[in-house]
Amino acid sequence: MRTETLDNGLRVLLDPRPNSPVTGIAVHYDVGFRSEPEGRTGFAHLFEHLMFQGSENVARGEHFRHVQASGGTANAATHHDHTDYHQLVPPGALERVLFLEADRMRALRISAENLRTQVAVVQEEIRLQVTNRPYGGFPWTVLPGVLYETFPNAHNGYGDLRELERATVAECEAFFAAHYTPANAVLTISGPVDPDHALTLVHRHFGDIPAHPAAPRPRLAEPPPCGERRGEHRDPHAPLPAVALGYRMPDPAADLGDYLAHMVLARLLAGGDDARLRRRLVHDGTVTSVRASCGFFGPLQARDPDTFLLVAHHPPTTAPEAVPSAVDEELDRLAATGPHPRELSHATARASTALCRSYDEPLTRTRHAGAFALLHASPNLVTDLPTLLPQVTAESVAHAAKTLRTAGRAVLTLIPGGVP
Amino acid sequence: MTPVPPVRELPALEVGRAFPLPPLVDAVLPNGLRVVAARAPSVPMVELWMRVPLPEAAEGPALAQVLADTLFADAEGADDLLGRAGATLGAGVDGGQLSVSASMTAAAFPEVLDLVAGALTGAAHPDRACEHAVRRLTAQLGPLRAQPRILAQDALRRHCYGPDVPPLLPDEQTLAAVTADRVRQLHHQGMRPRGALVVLVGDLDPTAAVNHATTALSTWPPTATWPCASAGSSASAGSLASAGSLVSAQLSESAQPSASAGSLVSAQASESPQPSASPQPSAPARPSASARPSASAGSSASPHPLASPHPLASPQPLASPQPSPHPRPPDSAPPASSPGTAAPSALTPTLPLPPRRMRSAGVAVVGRPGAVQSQIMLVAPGLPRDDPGFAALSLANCVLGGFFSSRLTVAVREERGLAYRIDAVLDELLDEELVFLDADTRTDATEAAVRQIRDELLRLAERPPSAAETDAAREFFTGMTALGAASQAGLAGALMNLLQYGLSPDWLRTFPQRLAEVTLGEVARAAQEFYAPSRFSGVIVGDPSGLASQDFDLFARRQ
Repeated sequence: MRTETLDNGLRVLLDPRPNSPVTGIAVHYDVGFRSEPEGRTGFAHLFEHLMFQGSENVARGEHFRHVQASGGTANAATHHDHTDYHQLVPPGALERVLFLEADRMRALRISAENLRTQVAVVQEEIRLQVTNRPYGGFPWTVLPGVLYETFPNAHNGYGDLRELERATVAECEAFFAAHYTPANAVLTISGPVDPDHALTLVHRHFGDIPAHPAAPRPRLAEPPPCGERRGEHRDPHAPLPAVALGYRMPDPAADLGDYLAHMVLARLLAGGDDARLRRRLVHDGTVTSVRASCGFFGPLQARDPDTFLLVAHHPPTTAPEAVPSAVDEELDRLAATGPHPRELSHATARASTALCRSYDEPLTRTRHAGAFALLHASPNLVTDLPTLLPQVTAESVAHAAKTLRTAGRAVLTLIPGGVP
Repeated sequence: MTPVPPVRELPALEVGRAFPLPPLVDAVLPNGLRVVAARAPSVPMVELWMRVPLPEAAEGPALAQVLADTLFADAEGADDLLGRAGATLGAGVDGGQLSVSASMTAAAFPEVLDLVAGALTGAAHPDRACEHAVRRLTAQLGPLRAQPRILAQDALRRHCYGPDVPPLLPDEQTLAAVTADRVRQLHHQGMRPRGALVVLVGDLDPTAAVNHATTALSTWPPTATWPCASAGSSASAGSLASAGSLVSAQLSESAQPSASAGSLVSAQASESPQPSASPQPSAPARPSASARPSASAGSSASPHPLASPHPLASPQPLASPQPSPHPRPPDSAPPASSPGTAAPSALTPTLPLPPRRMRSAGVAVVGRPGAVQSQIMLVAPGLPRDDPGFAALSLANCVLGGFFSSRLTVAVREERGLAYRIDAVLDELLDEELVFLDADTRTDATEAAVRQIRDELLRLAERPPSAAETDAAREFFTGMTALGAASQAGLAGALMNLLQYGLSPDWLRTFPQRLAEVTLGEVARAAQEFYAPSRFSGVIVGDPSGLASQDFDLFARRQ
């Protein structure tokens, strides 16, 4: 991979893949829902929608139209600390997409009418994904409120419908000026491209976007919880109870190895049919499902602080303490003796092949390379992770287990109910 | 304010390369099993996907689900082999077919194939494993039934095909009555290689892969002794559809990492705000529905947890201006009589059913008290994929609602904010080719959204797709063909899709050519012939009191 920074501060990441039949192009901005102001929950995501509503030379709706009429797809997503805009297109459409991305980075156009319409669309999205369905948004919209204390970390990133309605055009313009600057972005191009030619095109389209400083990042640091914090979440559509456990992850910037050990630990606990908690809880009907993961949206998709989570759904007959107790016992065992060597090698092999397969998808590779560059200054993680994971040792997994066992945590109980 | 900026023009497209079909071997073994192997060495891994037709059973989808769930329960050394190979392996039920999917390192591929072959020809489905499967599947039913889209799909089936249509999900009683004996009987007397499909894609030599499959699977006897005459009906060209995709339909909305293989579920765990919009394995004819094969194979591009080999595939963050472009349309039925009514343990020979035809039944409102959003699902008869008119219909459908630049998306979502997701999709329901219109909208705006959909249908006939619209749709389909096949999992999904429709892998090349030949006149005729509002029937599922005062009689035959 090759990186270069333009005079205006835009970081460019080139990932030549000569044998790929398609090109992935992504722009990652260093702004996510942890950057949005109090009183405006959901604003970062709402703003993401506005990025498709027209810019200086691209009318509303034309971004999608041009990409799709070129035989490609486009979309975007808002995460904790970044928002990524991505396209997957036939190689011949590279310059067209660079033009479209540059135009909205240079001069987005925001109108009151478009804002109002997208507020309504986002509200429909929240109904579809959260409020109208059982277990919608569980636990990611609610668990942070139990595990964390400061607004950026604790609030629901999907946001509140009323707060969304209060968003103004002026606020949108200020948000754009503060966060959507070239110096606050990483442009990733992954595909069968000649790097020199691609760079020429990048300079042509992005080179004259004026530099201006981005707003500082939000302050995310807060002390880990002491002891156990408890919360309840009522879900009117859910037929069965559920429970989510949240822990703090180690900072990957400080100790990537420790972070990777947590990834392996998640897999050992609940990553497959033979994982410890699956064997223990699913097979006897204590829970109907259990899973564990690093990060609400996957490993290394946020800066510190990030969350290690376990989620289980269970019949009403299961005692509320059954899941946390079982987790504690398995963590104790792993902390005391570490995983069995074979268990460990299977877990790391599977983690490794899963990543390998995942990064065989050109769009996933493009998006993760950009996110890793922006969040961790390590775009090469897309190639390195599959080889780093098998190096995780039993000792480091035992250490990770011990850390979780002795750290504070959040326990969020989902109470089903009400609506038939 | 600022100086007048230079006018910047949209760059032209560079001339593209034609989509190259990868080196591929397509073989039918003497016992009738079809094996397609393609070389795609992008990563040192292999995808192994299978579909095996299952005969009808009195227990409907319940029996097949337990069969799938226990397929590898007694496979010797499986844990160790799969662990060493970094492999994932799962089985599920999809459209009355058993679906098996695995991904593994290329080095371990032959061993894993042997393991799968061993299970197909010799699985014992131990009593305890079956009991466990029944318990687990039963526990998952409640949460699945509570999903609005499952409710809506079930309601749509009953509304359009009558009350005796097989239910989308098995019921508790039928599941409880499933016995290990019946599972073994279904497997060893009913499951046969004829009509079954194997797709192998990855860092492999296609000829060697097919040879290995031949050796591993040639002992699978070609004839079935299942006392059931109609097994063949779901075997061939056909029905992608499904009981399992009931599952995939549901699961697609959930990004829960990996429930275990064959599981009905984990829909309840869906905590993801939004599936990714990455291109799905795509047969060109159906970019919108193409995610389905990955439902049980767990493509990393796919959010399906069913048998997902990817526990690391994570919930997606807040997505996107664009919902997943691949909503799951309702799925076809398991080819069985109603499981609730038949004696579950009886060997009930069933006669081949005549193909079901949807009845035009208007639009019904189905109550879901407490809902804050309504599901709108409308269907009309479409065309089979091998019909000469299918390409034109595909383009007309795309312009109407098949991609984000479509008329429905613009009118309903981008101009009026009435929905986040709205789509038009060509797919099958109960083996019938249909056009699906599908949207979710807040309760008090439901009539407005339905009215807008109706207006766009009328406008499609009055102002048929323009040259620009048609070309955009054409280019989109063509691009999706290459994009969807750009990963091993994507290519495996695309190939499986084609084979299930009885099409040749070559369709990946020829369908874009066919699209290129479609004239504007043909597209206009398709638009006029297939989208008259009076052809549509369907359901609106939502809060009954909120919908009571709204008028949905817009699709009545009065036009």
